[in-house]
Amino acid sequence: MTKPAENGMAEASASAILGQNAGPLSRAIGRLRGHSFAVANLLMAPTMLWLLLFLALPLGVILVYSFGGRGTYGDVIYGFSFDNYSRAFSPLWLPVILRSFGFAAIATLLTLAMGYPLAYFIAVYGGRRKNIYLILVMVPFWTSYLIRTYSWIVILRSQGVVNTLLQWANIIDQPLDLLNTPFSVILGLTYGFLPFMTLPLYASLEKLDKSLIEAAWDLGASRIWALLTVTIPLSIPGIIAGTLLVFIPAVGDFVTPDLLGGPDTLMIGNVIQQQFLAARDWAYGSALSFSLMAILLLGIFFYVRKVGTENLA
Amino acid sequence: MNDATPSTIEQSEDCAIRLEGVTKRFGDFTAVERIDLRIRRGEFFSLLGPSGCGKTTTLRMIAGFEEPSEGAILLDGVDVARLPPYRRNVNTVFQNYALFPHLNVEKNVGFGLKRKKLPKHEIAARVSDALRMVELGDRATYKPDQLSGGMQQRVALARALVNLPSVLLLDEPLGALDLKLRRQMQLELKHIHENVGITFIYVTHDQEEALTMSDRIAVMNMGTVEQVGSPEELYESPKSRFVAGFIGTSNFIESVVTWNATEGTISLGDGERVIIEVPEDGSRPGSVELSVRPEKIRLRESGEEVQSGQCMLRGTVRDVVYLGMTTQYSLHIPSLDRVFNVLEQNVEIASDQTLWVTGEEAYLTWHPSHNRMLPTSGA
Repeated sequence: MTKPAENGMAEASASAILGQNAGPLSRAIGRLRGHSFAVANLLMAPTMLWLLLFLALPLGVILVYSFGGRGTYGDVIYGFSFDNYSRAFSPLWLPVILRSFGFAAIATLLTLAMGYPLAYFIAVYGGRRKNIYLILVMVPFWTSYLIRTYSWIVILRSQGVVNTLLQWANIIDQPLDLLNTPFSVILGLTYGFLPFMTLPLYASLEKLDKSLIEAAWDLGASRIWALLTVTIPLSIPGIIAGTLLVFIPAVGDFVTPDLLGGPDTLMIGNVIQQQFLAARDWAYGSALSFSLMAILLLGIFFYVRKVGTENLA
Repeated sequence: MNDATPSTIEQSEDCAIRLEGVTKRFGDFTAVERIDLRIRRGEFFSLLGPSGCGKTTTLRMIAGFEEPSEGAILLDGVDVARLPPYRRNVNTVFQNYALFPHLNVEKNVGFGLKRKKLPKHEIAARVSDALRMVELGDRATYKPDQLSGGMQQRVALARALVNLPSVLLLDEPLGALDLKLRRQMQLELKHIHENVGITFIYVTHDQEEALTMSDRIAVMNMGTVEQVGSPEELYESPKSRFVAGFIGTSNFIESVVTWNATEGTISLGDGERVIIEVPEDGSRPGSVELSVRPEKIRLRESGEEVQSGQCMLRGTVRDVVYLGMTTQYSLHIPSLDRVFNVLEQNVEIASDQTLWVTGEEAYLTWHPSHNRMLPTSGA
């Protein structure tokens, strides 16, 4: 690119930003500014289009599938029956569903228990190093979730890092069964989703006016009371966001139980995956997906209402 | 705490709070250096000074948000310097109010009482009393963000006072209000102080506010207390150049003095002179620094007769600022090579007298009793 062209571009964009000396683009923006509704639509358009194409449309397809049936060769036979749904809610899957919610709930609580102090530390004591800490929280994202989960196999298996160390230190004789247990699955979920908890918690704690905590102390509240009556209630939005961001994907997760789990850690995500891939019963898989989604939506609705109104009380 | 010597008991009778050699360092920076203060019970006491003078740090140490590096803070005779804020019987009105946004007015005000585990009906009664005192009885169920700045200010005041602290700390509480509301709140605060009889420690950088409201003021500068006194004492008898310049405005004269039996004289030739009364302690320093308040000086025309006992300087009018009740002049004094401020009452303007105009020559005269001798830097 030549120098004059660069200058020309810089000038054009500067005038567009400043709204001066209107070129066609800045005039167009100026017009849109006057019509905030049109601007709002324009700003949302790419995302709306994306969601429409890759969320709403596939969901529609799955909804249609879920009322159909399985053809001989794994194709979907369109129809309208609730057979798949009655099979989805059969007692057969009840333990799997309960286990999925249980694992996800434990993982959510563990990420909250670890993420809250971490987020509080960064927000209150981070000082100039805040950004470094935040980057450290996000560092795991630089590697694929799959690879990070695989690495837990290396750590947990019977000849893995943990067992070798413990045996070497003569703490144990036989390797512990760490892998392929509920423990390893919950560990994997907790590890994988911790940043999703920490970041929204940090965002809400960072906004918290620190003089409110001093005010609570000043009025006789000990550190723990100030935490319970001021800090935590005021960070409820962050807690809601964090728990939802962890719980929802954790319930439906299938990679972690697939890699770290065993025969007694089957989660609903595995079942759905099996229906789509192994059993090639897309109609049934669709019905299971939709059922899970309905249960989750209902749960979220009551959760947000309960926690949200407690916050307002 | 355990060594309650007779002297501390005696002092605790009239002192709500005492600071002894309190120092606060942040790393290499000394924010507050060896401060001693005695604040009487029921007093309206102000910490006044420019930003960065250490007044807020001092307040935060009394509140318990900062721990002194050295020294003792005696609250009702007991050293609380190392106690956390929730174990001191002091309450704070914060600069930005710091009202809990998730609690309504009633619950904000009742927060401290609830921590003291008082019975519910007593909390309710005291909260509604406190709200009535600040004239917000009808806003009990409002959230802080539904109230105006002035109302939030009063909620913050009620929230602190309802706990009946030994000392109420106020950290520039009116700073965020507009001028008119601030004047009104100053009077209200003063009124509330008289009614509740609690010791108030008030931090402000606004000298006018401090003068209006305080029984006594500690003027702070660079982490130390320059002078403690009533508003009159500070204004009429400043003990340092900083106080003389920070509280109101002052004109300064530094010069060598010749003393005789009854007075000292700074002779500037051509009839110009500054006469100095012998100080109370009888000292006759060879050179002095004096301050004179602008309103003590009269402007006279050259022909007018000046009594021999008066101080007199010749000056040229540089600026004239008409302020309604008064007119402020600045005059250049050639013999001192310095600009003096003079404040004249405009009582005579309605008659035949005219304002002085720029460029005119005038004589500045005042009575020697208006000279304030400041300790020189060498002393």
